Amino acid sequence: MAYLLATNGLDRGQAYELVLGDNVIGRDADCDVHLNLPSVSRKHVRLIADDPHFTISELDSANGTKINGHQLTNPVSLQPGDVIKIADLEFSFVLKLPNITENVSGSNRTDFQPAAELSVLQRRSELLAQVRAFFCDHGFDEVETPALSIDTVVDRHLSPLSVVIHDETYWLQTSPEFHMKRLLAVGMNAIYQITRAFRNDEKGPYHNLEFTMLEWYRTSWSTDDAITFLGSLVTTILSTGAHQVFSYQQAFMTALEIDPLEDSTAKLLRCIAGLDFQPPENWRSMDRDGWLDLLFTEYVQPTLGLDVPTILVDYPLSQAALARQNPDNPKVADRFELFFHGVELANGYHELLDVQELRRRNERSNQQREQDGQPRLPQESYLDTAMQSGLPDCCGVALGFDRLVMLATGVPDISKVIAFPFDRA
Amino acid sequence: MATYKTNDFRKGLRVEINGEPYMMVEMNFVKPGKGNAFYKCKMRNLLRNTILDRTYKGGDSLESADVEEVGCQYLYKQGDTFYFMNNVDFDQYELSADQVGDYWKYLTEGMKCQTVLWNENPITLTPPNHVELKVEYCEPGAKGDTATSVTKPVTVETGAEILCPAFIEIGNVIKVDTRTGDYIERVNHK
Repeated sequence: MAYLLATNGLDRGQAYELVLGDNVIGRDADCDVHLNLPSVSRKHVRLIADDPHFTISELDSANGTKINGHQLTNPVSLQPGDVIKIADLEFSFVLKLPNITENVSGSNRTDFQPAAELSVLQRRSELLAQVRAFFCDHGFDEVETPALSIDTVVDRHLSPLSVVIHDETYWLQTSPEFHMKRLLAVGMNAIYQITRAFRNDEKGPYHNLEFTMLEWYRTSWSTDDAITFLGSLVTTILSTGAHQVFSYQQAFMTALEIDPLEDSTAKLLRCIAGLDFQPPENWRSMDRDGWLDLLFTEYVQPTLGLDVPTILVDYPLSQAALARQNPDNPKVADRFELFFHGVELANGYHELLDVQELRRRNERSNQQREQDGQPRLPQESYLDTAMQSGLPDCCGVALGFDRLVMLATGVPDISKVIAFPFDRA
Repeated sequence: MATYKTNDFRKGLRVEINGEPYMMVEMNFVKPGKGNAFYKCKMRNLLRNTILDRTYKGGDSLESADVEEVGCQYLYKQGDTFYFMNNVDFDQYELSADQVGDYWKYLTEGMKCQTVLWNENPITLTPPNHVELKVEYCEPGAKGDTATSVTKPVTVETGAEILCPAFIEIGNVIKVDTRTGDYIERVNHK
């Protein structure tokens, strides 16, 4: 059938499907095409679809209708591509919706404009300046490291993107971690950067394939120092009350009355089976961390940081990534994450220094990737060499800057805080 | 049959689950930075219009459903079967009284409708939002009943009863909203 494709205003890109027969367009809720704007009359204009004939006629609207720039007075027959202006809203009359492949190959792209409001982009610029001032005040040096590297983080659940250059495979960074640790290994001791990271297959209200990461490291910090600094950064930038700290274990006990560290697998399974939600059909074939992730995303995370930023500490050792084991409690890692309004904003480690342990974890991640049907990733790396030469005791934190902008502006979709999100990059 | 992997998931995808066709109407990607990816989906059953909530994990897949929307026109009814013809290739479709549901009230010969084909068989029917129907029988309205608040049932050419204002008479043509079954206005044909 035919569509009216909005080409300006907030609805830009929205397609209104026409039905056979009568289509009344107007502000009344019972109109076939409902345009809820004060400048649009209750019943503004009528479009009769008698495929392949389409006729448009005026319904005594206050602000009138223009077809290809001409005021509509007598009924007009529409042709595909005609521009219909209803009060101040512009539409293109099309028989077929443009699909993505056509958009890429054709020269007729309609979405050249940014996805974010200009006021949001200006706020984003202010936030960048505020963040830089905060780090400057705390004695950090801003560094810049390559986005494209011969190394990549070996993580079970990350899909890095590769680029082949002169027959050699390079990786777009999933975080600047390796390069920044190489700088610590040669004597820098308080560094931060604001850079781009890339993670394939991640798209949603909180994920864009290419995103901006704020990452920092400081030597000789205790885990508590790093947690306090993170809390102070976020509460300052977002002007909130003081942050709270809970353990991963406490958060599960509060939300679900189960102990993620001590309870048996059988108890975990009974908990999932007894909850009123639809887990993936094959959820029983996941592992303990998979079940914890499932419960966490469904029942724990949405309750975190509703009033003030909340930092979860002491993650299970099996989810340590590159954090060191806690020296007092061998079941947990010195890893912490900050949540605000249920959004995961930052992830930090008291960094792993033991290169043998790094190699064991890389090997385990690669084995799990193979089980999941994912390719193995290279384990040999400059990080390995840097750690052999001696990485100083340090803490590091990565924060999703786009999500910080979302929280600061109240915009609920990451693609609306980025000038050009991936689908129009 | 094609298979959709989780990274193909998006709104509007037509998929088959337990042997029935569904349309994905919502898709939400959830993933802890260092954890498993989940895809929270809402799917509308195209046969029964019910909503199914499902969560998938990264790497799961769904079978595609061969579902297509086509324009057709109503031909006639025989027994409990309604016959339609494709506007373009003149294929004929049969829909049962169950599939047509309450829409029989609005079907007049030659009316242009839309139908959803699943594996080339019609499964649902959508009539135009507004249809014009001729009044075949009604009780006369009392004199002076010009207010639209007073209603009476009238029988239209399809045999259906529609509630109309009291001033409607036999032979009038009325416009009806097929989504609500409500009378909209009397049509004055020039």
